[in-house]
Amino acid sequence: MRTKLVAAASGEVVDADSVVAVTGIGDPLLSAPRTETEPAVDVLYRAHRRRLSNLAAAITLDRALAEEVVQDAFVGLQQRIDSIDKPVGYLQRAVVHRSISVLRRRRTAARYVIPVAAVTIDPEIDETWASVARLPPRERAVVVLRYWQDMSEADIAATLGWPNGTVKSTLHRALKHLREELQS
Amino acid sequence: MSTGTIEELEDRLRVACAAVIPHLLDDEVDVGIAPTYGQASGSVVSLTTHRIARRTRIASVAAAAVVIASAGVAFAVASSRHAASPAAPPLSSPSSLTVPPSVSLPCDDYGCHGFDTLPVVPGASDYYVGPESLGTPQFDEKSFDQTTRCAELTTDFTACAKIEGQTGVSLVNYAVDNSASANTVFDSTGGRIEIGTTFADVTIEHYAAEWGPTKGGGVQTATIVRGHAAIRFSYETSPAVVWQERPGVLAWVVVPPTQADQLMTIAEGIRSVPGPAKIASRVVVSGIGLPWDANDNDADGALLGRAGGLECFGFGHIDGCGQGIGDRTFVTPNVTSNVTPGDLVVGSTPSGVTAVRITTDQGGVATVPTSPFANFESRVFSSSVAGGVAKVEWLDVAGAVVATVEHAQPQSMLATADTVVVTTTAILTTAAPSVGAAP
Repeated sequence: MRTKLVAAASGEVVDADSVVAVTGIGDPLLSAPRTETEPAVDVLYRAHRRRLSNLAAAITLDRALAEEVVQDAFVGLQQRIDSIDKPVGYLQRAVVHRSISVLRRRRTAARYVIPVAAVTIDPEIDETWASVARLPPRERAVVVLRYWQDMSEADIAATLGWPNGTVKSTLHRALKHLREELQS
Repeated sequence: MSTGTIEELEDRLRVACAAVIPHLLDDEVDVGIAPTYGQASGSVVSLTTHRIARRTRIASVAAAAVVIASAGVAFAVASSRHAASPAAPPLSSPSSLTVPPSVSLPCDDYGCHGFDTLPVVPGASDYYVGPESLGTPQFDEKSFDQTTRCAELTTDFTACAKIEGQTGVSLVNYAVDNSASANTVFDSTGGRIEIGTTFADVTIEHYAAEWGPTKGGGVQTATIVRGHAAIRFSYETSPAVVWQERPGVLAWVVVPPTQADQLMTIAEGIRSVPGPAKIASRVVVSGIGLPWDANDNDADGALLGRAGGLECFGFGHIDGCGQGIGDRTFVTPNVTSNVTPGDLVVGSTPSGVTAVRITTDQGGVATVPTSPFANFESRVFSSSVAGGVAKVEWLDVAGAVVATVEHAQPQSMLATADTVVVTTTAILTTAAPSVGAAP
């Protein structure tokens, strides 16, 4: 199901063809009272929703969860935008953390990501992505940030608020898993 | 493209991420939007030739993803008592099992908190700081709290005799230039000196190889520090040295490249200071789950802990103290099995549950006894199954089913061409835990 998103500030229809329905959880930009911060959040939403949704989907491997995670992140941003210096950084961090934590809550989710395998017609890409999909969520998050977002380990650490060593150990373990699996 | 080198693997990951992730939310054929294979290099498909075919497959996977989400949610507690099961024996009498209320743990970016504490044997948590000339050390208390667990209890189970953790994570940092703020513990961009204490049974050669530069192993040089065999290596671009300061504990020092000439002086001057007298109550349940990897601070081992007086079970980490069967049963792909793809089932149960019955999605059934662990009231179990797990049941001593958690496998999931189809149902192995006490 798809729906249209109406920008809260202007009433104009934005990104109507690509915005995904937010079924059941409400739309923060539609339901919240108008404030002077709304245009800024609206701009951020239009500019970053797609990328953040893809990021969340890459970690959760679950479309509905990804949408929920991103919406929650924007709700969080809207609630505290006055105190956030770097809203894009906040959003990215929030999306990654929420994506990981939502999977942790769903303890049996890991098994059911296995079928997410082939998405292109290139077997090597399919094989590689299937291996990424089988990584634990924390490892998959770091791999996605490193190799899709092209972030350095230091940037990942700064973004996630993790110790650099944790990022390094997580990425190290992920690469080790991937290498073993892809070479087997 | 092979994965012979780390660079080749990284290239392959960039290609796959660029080809797949931008389209994970695509759910319809839309030739007006050009798929972006991005800057990735390597063997990507021809966009012009294969656009429609590729998008068609994406659509099928997107649909599968929705099914997968439903499947995950469906693996919930189906019935708390006496669940109907074709394989279940006739029920005897109502069980007297009482499940206490669950407790949620507060979690933040570092992990979860609110655990009860576990005393540590004096000396077991001692860590290292630099020489006094470096100034005031910054002790990373949060990191210590989150990445350490008890590997061995004392024989009376009242204290931790050996802790594990802090691999690759420096416990102590010193800012060394003006570009680093006072709070440099997590500021990886600032110049700083790191003094690490890693509680792990790994060799210094292994550690240096694991924590050397990401792209290639780098040069390792044998040396001596404080009378111990040591190895100099590069932690990325920063000079580093590691040695075993005491059994089961590595010490290491990393300095900014501009301070390379200070490395060995600092290493020789480290001092041992008393560590925390207590750690968060998280104890490794050895023998079940997957073995802890000493290189990892977040591995797939089983843990038992306590919070608010309740016992908590986790797999790799503990993020809650749920007491129901759905909270305490973990199913994950058994990545260690070289024989048959399948699931690993790990869990804990109340004390009155003496066995667990596992039903696979192909109809195989196995009964796994639960085992006590240390002084916990909870019992634990672990089993590898060939294929997927459809249902897990707690059985009391009379064989009655007292709780069930099941996954309703949707037919469409099996019908998806990309699905891994399980063909065997035999139970492979069953592991019993060893009591986690030091001799």
